[in-house]
Amino acid sequence: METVRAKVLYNQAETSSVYRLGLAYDAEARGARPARFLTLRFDGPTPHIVPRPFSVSDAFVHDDYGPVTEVLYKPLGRVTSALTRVRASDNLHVLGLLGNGFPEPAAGHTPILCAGGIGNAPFALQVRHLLAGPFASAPSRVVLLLAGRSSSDIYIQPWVREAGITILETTDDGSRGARGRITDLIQTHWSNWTRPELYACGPAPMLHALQSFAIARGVRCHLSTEERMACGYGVCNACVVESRREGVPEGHGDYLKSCVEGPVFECREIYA
Amino acid sequence: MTDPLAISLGPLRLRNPILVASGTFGSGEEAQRSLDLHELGGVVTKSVTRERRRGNPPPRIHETASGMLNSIGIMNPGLDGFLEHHLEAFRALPCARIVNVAGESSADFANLTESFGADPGIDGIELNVSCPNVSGGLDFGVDPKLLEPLVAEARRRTSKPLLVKLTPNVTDLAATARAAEAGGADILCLVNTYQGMAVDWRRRRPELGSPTGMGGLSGPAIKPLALAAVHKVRRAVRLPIVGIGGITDAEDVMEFLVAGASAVQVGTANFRGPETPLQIVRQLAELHTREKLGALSDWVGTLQVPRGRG
Ligand SMILES: Cc1cc2nc3c(=O)[nH]c(=O)nc-3n(C[C@H](O)[C@H](O)[C@H](O)COP(=O)(O)OP(=O)(O)OC[C@H]3O[C@@H](n4cnc5c(N)ncnc54)[C@H](O)[C@@H]3O)c2cc1C
Ligand SMILES: Cc1cc2nc3c(=O)[nH]c(=O)nc-3n(C[C@H](O)[C@H](O)[C@H](O)COP(=O)(O)O)c2cc1C
Ligand code: FES
Repeated sequence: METVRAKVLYNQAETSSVYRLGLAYDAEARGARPARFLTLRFDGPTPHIVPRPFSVSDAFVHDDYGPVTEVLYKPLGRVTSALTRVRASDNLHVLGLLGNGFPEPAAGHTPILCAGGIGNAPFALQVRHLLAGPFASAPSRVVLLLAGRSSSDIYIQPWVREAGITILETTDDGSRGARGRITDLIQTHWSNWTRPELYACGPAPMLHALQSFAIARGVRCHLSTEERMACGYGVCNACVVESRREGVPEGHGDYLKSCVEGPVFECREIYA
Repeated sequence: MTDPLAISLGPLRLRNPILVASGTFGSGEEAQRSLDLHELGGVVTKSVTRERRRGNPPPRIHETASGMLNSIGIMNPGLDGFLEHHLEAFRALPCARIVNVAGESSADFANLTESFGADPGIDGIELNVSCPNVSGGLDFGVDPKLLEPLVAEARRRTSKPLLVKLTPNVTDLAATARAAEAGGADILCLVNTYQGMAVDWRRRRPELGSPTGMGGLSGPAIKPLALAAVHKVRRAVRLPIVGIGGITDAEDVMEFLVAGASAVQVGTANFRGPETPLQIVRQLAELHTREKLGALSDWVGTLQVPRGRG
């Protein structure tokens, strides 16, 4: 873990709410795993004090650029909006890699990757790792669900669409894919999947819904949480999520530091 | 050869004047895992309280103009948890090791001080009498009449360097500084965070999740306030001062030294990454060579405010 300056290779809008940032940064060499993250900070155009956390969306070696780390982000507030104005060859301060990341699916289980909006971020890397490993000869068994409010929220890197995995889409307003929530989509297809194991990243209400669903169905479900962070490496105690334990009522559980003990928790470990 | 950045801080000898501030560096273990902290002046732990504290509900931080608010609420494992899980690694740090303690009563402060008061692996004890996040307890740091006996009681429990960290949320900082001096403090540290608030007007709610909606402001936004605080206290007491507030580079360090601090603590800047305080040490070494600064102690408190203007 250290902070380095990394050059921006590209930074472009893929849809009106999804930007894709390429950095000359070797996440793979630093132990990349899906849902591990890094923090970004820039000196201009709008200097800020506290770095912001972003998932490693993808990590690969490019013919011209060499090792590339990709970040997907949604302009939401001060820093993410200013990030849209960062240009190729600008430098960002990158601290990484941080957090635990998603575990591999248990043998014989079907990974169901559940993305809500910008929660699509960790999944290209997860698909890459799954296809390089246990699913190399059966890519269609990897299922990626893309959910959002409307069509501009639906995005995954183009190579993932061509990788032969199963991709299903749903939007709240029906502007793309099925109309409805991600849980509706899961209900519809549930019987097609052998021993599903859920991986989720997205807004808190979605994580909450998937948590209830997974507990009711008795399946494993890994949630990538998004708490506000200051340090990202375990020293400030900003980023807490409440742990869940038998006999301890909600509101009384210990707080866990999601930057080091997470950001991924099995859904039975926390209150999402 | 003695280190050109070495400095005396009352009874403490430091390799250089740069320490890290309580609550912004854990107990140094996280950083020590990937870095070598022997170049650092010292580490101050997160505040340790008698019982473990869960802290406040999130969100616990919010960035503001050139600063940030926090409402962590002194989340910590308590004395027993600290002794069991952190003390050993903390004692092994290759720089000055200062434990920061916070209590809800004078007896808490005294007992916590005693717990570390004779430990050869601890170089000093810092009393946090100033945290605005601890609800319920009295804010000792605002009342000189409470502060003096509190410090005196802790003083009786240890012969180690005793640091008292003052709150700036008072009308007369010189008065609390004098009370800490009278109580037997060796060193004064200032400042802790300034009470502040951020509002989400659309939702008509505070941005922070603390029960009061308020938090403590830190970062470059408070540096001018902290410099003024150091300057005032320097004129009021004879004790050495540790300057804290918005320090991000070696220039900031020298500003605090000239204003009257013998050493500094780096807080919010550590959130850039764990190597930040070491970078500041290196910058200071470069500045020292480039501008031939000589003994750093010769700079301490040399600020001259021209009189008779206007
Ligand atoms: C481990 C982790 C991984 C993340 N990965 C990604 C990613 O890959 N892509 C991406 O776009 N975003 C990601 N986020 C969220 C991202 O960090 C926030 O969107 C960002 O910090 C907002 O900064 P800002 O200055 O733009 O917003 P601010 O101006 O600080 O806030 C704007 C709004 O965003 C909300 N907000 C602030 N921080 C967060 C947060 N951590 N999570 C959710 N909402 C927040 C605020 O409540 C406010 O309403 C991740 C967060 C975490 C903790
Ligand atoms: C997240 C956070 C947690 C803090 N926790 C403590 C604490 O536990 N005890 C304490 O004495 N000060 C605490 N502080 C205050 C700092 O030690 C320091 O006094 C203050 O932040 C000002 O310095 P800075 O502007 O360099 O951050 C905390 C500050 C921050 C930002
Ligand atoms: S963000 Fe600082 S402890 Fe997690």
